Amino acid sequence: MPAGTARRHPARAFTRRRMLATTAATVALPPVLAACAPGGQRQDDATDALLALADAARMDAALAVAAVTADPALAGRLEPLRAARMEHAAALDQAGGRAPGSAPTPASPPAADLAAVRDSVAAAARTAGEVVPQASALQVGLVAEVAACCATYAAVLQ
Amino acid sequence: MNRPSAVRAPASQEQDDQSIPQVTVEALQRALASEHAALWAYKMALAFVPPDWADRARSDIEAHTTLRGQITQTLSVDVGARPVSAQPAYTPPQPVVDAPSAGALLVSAETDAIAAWRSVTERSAQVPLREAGLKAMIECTGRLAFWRRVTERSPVVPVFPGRS
Repeated sequence: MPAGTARRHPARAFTRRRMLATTAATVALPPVLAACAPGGQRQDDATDALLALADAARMDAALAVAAVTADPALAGRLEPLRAARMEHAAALDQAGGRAPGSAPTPASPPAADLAAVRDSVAAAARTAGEVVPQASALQVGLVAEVAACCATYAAVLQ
Repeated sequence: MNRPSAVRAPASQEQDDQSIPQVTVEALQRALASEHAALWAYKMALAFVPPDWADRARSDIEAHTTLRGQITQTLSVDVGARPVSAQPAYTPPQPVVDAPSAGALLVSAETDAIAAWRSVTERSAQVPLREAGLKAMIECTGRLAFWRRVTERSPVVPVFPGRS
């Protein structure tokens, strides 16, 4: 595992472990298992996957806008989803190393309704779930959060 | 197999290369502790919530009981660790005196549980543990959305579940 060797400085690992032992706010800490991140090839693959998830998030946001345009009564249900998916896109872009503002603009979606938005966000939840096993330790928490958020929107938009 | 040698930090020298890393075991123990706390929170909330919320709370208790059983078995059978015990009582973030404050306690409990399960995904290299962590996060987020809705929090579905 040559790629991870440089990061496995024992003193640093020990410091992280001590932080783990002394605080309950562990979510914000850099995981020790970053040391277990797969080597270069898998890392690159996961980064591509993150950017694909970011693009899918922007497409969901565009679909939500299209659905609300077609039926303004949906605004109350879909505006929070649109905002969430734009936040997902920004976070995934950053995690994937994409410079701010350099993301491709999604193609204008066709006319959309609630079912189309729900199906799209359900697909996003599945895709994010498929990235969880291959993501690095530093990426996986974000990907899992996106999956959980999307899966829940798919359920509440029934 | 890429066994993570780096997790053999000084505090976990008792671990050998074939065992689940100590950092993963600790994440699992914290997830179990969060399940103990969530179950305590739900049982306390039951005394304060209206009947329709109580029905939901009882089904949520069943779900958390299942999760607690699964993680206890993982720790004791698969890992060979002694599962952490529940505490006799916990301190709610705010006093629980009525239905809204009971609902707020459950929002807090589910948020904490999601954070703990997220930590399992982050600190596990093993795919089954990552997938179990994700599944628990999704289930907890569904419950969280219910309690956020009935306590009139916005957005109902958190953008990044588990962050508070």
